[in-house]
Amino acid sequence: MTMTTPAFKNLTTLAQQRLGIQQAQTITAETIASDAIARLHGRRGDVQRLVDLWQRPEADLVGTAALLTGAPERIRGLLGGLTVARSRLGTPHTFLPYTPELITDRNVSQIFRDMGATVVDALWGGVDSELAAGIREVTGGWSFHPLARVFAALCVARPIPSPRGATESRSYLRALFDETTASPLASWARGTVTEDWTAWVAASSGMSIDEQLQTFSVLIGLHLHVALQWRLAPSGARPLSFCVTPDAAAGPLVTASCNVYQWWQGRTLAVLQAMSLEQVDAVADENPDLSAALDANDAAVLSRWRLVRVESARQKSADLFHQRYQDELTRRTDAAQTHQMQLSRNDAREIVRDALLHPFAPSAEKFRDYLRQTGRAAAYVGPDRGYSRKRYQIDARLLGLLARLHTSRDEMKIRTSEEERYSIEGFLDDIFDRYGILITRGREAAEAALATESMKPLLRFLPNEALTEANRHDVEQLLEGLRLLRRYSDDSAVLVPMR
Amino acid sequence: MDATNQIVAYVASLRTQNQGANPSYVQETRGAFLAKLRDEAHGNFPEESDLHVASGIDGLVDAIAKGTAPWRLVVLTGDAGDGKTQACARLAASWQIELDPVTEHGEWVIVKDASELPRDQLAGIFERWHQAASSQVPLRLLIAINEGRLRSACSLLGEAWDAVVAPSLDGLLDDEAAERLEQSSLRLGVLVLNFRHRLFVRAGVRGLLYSWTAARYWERGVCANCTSRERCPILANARDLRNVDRVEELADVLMWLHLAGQRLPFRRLQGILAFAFTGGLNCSDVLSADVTSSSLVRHRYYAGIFITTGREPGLARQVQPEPAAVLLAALDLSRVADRAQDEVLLAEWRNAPPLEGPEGAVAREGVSPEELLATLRQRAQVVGRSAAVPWRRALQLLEDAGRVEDLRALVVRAINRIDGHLDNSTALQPILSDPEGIVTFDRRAVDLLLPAPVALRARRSPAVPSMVKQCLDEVATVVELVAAAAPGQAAPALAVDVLLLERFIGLLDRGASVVSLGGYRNDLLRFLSRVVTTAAGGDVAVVLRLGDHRLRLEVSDKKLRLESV
Repeated sequence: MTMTTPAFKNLTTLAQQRLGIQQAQTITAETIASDAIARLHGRRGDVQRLVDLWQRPEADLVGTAALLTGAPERIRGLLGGLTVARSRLGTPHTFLPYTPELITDRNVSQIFRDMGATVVDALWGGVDSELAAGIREVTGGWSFHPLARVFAALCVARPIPSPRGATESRSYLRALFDETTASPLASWARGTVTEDWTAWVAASSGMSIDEQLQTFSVLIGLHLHVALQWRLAPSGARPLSFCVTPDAAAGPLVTASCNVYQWWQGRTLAVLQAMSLEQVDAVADENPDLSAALDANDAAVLSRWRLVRVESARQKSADLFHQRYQDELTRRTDAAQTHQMQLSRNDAREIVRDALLHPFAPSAEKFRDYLRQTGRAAAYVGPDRGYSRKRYQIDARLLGLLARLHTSRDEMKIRTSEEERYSIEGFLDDIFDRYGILITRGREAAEAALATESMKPLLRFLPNEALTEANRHDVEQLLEGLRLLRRYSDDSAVLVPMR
Repeated sequence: MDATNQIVAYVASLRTQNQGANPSYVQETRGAFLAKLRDEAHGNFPEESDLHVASGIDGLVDAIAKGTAPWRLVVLTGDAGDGKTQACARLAASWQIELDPVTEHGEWVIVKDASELPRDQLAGIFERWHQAASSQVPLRLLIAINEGRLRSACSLLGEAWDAVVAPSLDGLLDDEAAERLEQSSLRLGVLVLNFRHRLFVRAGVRGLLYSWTAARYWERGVCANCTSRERCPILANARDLRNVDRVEELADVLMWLHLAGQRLPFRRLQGILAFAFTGGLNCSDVLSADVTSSSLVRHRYYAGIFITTGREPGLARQVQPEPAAVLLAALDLSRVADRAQDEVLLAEWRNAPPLEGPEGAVAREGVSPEELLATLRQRAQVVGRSAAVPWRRALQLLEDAGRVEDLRALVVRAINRIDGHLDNSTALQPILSDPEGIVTFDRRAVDLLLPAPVALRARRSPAVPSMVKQCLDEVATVVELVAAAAPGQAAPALAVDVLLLERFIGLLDRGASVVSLGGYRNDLLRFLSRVVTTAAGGDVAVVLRLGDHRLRLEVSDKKLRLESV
């Protein structure tokens, strides 16, 4: 009988599956939205002529007026405004997805990383769902955008062989949604995500095409971000983001917001650590010798763990593991001898865990980046420029989207105990329940949710009720400035319905 | 002799932020508090009937009291402070009975605040009402209820909900729907007064100031011998605000606030007015030896209305302004220098220095030029009804139903100006700036060529049945400009409030930039985008601006064709 060499599984792949992230790569939400649109409509486009036009506009312009000085620069500028991502040389990679023809069919897996599959498959329930049909109808109308009509005519449509394109299997996030119907994430997906997209379809009739596209990307970003928070949260905890307004002055509110965001970033490493330990235990369970070695308190015996393979695309990962393991083992056993202490089983497990984590540590960085990118897309992680500490902040784009969704929902789907469902209080209750967006601690429902043991690690960052009431005041002012809130008295303000 | 004027104590109690005082706007505490003040004033204090501000709702109350009202169900809905409970209290008073949470008198059952009533009890009352209808037992209901509770009670109302109550809550009802509502109301005997639609600002300001300012309570009463009477801003305010012109000017400011999106139910209106009237002060503040005369000018009604926050200089305690004052900051130009206007203001001050009130004290004692100018600028914003003040012009356009065409013309001209058309066209011009160009810099070079000019019409809503209008005095106005739409499409509409109008006036008169539209840019963008996609039927060409040239963009043989338009 041949014994197979024990192996640790690829932690990055495992973590992607655990967190529901299709690819742990840096990617913008606008690009995710583009990929989703292409998959939803079953076609992409050959955008080479647009790229040529950007590179050599003078060669691709015809007509008597094409010779006017400045015309090529203007055309190039106009194309620049349609561009989402560029190559290092500045050449447009991806354009705003007004029509699927403007979504490139080249290097799809490299540019889009199959992220659109997550959106179609997980957020919309597949291309054949009723929800997807509604979204298809709205997004199909984007081709009426005047700029789309001009520039899409330069692109050739290319059907996608399969509706899912490169991804034939279920997306990781969809797999998580389906994993167990009783999980909080699954019920969040069935409730919040489905209701939100239904409300978005209803709300979109009152929006301009550009506004539809903007809110579309923001909502994708929001759902992907909150879904990740669900997976990063410790057992029993739930997503929570304490949001300030973008122009909030430095002080305890901003500090709290920064700290909460930083805590979620730190959770990416914590999740990887936990998974690394799970791998150690799994290998130990399958291999009695290795399990016994953990109890041996002997460096020579413990070094058997060096023989465990590391499944990874990179040979370097295994080398990094072996090297780190040996170094760490030596250090810890020396220290134990110096202090005349023994290495317990737990100590030994931690040595292996940390060594295994070492080659995969960059993945935690990628997950942090994904958290930031989806938050940025949802317009609630910022500031978007400069080196300021990132924080949760609710800006006009997200606030506008949330207010429109709120007033477009079936009244009974609004999650509040307020009788005035469209009141500002009803709105605050609802966005806390759906996304964990906390504006004030002056709401009973939010306080009850925060009072659990599992929320304690986050609770310590939050300011007191009086301070957060000032935050609520700022948010209300922002809503009033956006003309989304009508005040009927000092105690009564109601979100203005979309027309 | 220094004395405390009980009218000041009464008006101060109407300030909703006046912590520690007995709020006389709360129906349950009002009677006892007024009795105490009246007692302390030795009778020199208005009777309850003198303090009452007459309104259209009184007619309904009288009709119910006399048994001539044709309604089986009267629903008073709105927000806290709208006067719903007060109407119930007046009815009970006219029958000389106590007002309880549920009061029965003859055929009538009065529920003074259904929002406070247990759901089962409310359901039971409606059950009785339904049974009474089928058994011909006379039972009529007067119910005061917040809108949220009313919506949640929709199943209790049966047919009346769909036919009368739900349409009455719609803020954008048109004439046709209002006519249907009227018919249904009469048929079912159900009247719904939605106070959210009520516009009671002008009548409220007139009534309140009339009841507060009678000379017998002030300079001919307890203030006659007060040592601080010469410098007292409250007394000066009382004198000024019995002048009809001053009253209308102050009403203009509050109307502006109302039409800028800050609806003013009676209690809120009363609170803001009370703060302006007292300047946030009590008699003891004015009598304090620490307070200088010049600092008291800040508490004249035209300056006090702009106080937003903080400790007032010279005062021992914190002034608590009404929250709505923050919105009035848009009108406060006290720190904005306009050299020509400042010279006029200073010249007027020097040529005719005031003799009375804190201004007279300032003229005698002197004050820093900056402080003096700040006060004079605030006064110029409020006093005098000059049409040169942009916010007044915007208010006049919006308020005056007869000038709706002027309003439409101004909005169309402003939008065309944004698009670079300087003529006085009455329709949106065929070449329209790319809506996205309003907010996205990259696209400012792009225009859209509409097939033809797009005409807009002005629409006011909500329309309400005539019997509702009688009770609500005036109906709050939403003004929209509406473009025609293709069949089956919702017509694009741009809601025009007083702030947007003011900004449009700024664009036209002072050449302000599009950026000054602020949050309204998105509204305008949304409206114009929908004009392009619905009103113009999508038949729109893209035009590139290049200096004086306009170039149409089209695709021909896989090349981009540019032709001069």
